[in-house]
Amino acid sequence: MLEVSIVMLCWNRWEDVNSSLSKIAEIDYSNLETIVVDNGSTDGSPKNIREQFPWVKLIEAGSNLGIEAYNLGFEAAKGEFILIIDDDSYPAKESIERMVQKFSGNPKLGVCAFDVRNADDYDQVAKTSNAVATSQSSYSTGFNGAGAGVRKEIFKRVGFYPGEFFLYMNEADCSLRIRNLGYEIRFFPDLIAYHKMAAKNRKSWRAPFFYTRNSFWLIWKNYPTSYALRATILLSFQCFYHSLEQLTSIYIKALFSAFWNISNIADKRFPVKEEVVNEMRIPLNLCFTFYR
Amino acid sequence: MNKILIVRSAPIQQLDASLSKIKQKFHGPNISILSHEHAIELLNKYECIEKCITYPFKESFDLRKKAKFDNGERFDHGVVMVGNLTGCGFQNVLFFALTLPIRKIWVCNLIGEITPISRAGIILKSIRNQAFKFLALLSTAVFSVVAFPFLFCFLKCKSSSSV
Repeated sequence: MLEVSIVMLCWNRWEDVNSSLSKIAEIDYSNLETIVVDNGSTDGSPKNIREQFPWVKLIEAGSNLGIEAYNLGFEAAKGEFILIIDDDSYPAKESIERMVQKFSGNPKLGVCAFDVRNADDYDQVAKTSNAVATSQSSYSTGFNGAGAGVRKEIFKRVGFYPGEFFLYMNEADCSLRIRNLGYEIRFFPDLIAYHKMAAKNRKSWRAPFFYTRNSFWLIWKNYPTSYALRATILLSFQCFYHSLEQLTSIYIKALFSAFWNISNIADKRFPVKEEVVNEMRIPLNLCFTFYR
Repeated sequence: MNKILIVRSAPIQQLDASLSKIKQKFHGPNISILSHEHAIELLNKYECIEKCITYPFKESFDLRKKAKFDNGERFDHGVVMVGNLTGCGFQNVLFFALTLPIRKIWVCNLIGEITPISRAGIILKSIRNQAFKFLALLSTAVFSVVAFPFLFCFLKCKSSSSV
């Protein structure tokens, strides 16, 4: 059986895809496939991938489905473990083998969260020796979709990424459901993924809007009723407060959009156990830190 | 040598990019970092960080939840990392920074610009924000009366099954 499937999503970022796939090509691990799902790029990415990286399994979604397109790749993955990356990230050479060892050594491990680092700077500021995981924090966190290994069987049981989210908070949604099944999500400092960091302000409405709307949907899909009501009051308050603080209406729009389009998650509410909500660190106020 | 404390309130990836700028700004300082428990192992991988201090709470940095330092330990500068240009949305961290044993507070933004911020400025902003909080509270109350019965029904009706 194939061990690892790397799954990448791309949308009109050929330069980044080219750079990441070139790095992946240098990985010396035989039991591996690479899947790229193209989200309807118009910059020639699919043609270029076919010509320059013929070993890549290319899936064309046809149009921009957002993170739902990842699910096409996850479904097609033949590997026992899936390594999720962005179109501008790639794993360190030795990390794939280490990831497989960690999964093989711990059947309750659902997700290996990579240490996602800045591609341009990390090697200059890091110690030369490789750190290994020695302890685990007293609470669980989610994982970063720019570098995370997931046991496919578990990922499939939780329905892969929530397509209705379109963008952002998808990892937190999966993390809650994976923890609810009793599987561990662990950070490993010796599993490294390199990610390009856009050193510019996110003036676009997309990040604050989708982060905020999806934070509501995350709560309503996954939290037990009393927890969901409490968290909704708090998040609604934060939407009004940060709209005033940052002189924007984007958070209020996201709040109303979450309610108005609640039917999108109508058949997707599966409350997790209370202890899962209590032990996980889901920073719901993160959505208010992107705009200006 | 300047002794500085970084408050890690932005992604580690951003710290990768900002560390060299912080070192340059403070002329090769002795660096300590305050961070949540889950990131400590990752922060131990930095060559130039002398000490990692754990913030012993799961929640975001909060004025009411203080960090613990060795007796009498003080820092010349505190650098608060913010994940955007202006620091909007990080008021809780800036307010929290007032409780730290640091002489001067700086903000390091997404592109690594490091600018000083006065204690009075933080307090004045927080006074202004109290007015916003009051208005937000009223808005939430009105909104809740309208939207929450509907939400309660939705949550109850759809709670029958679980994963």
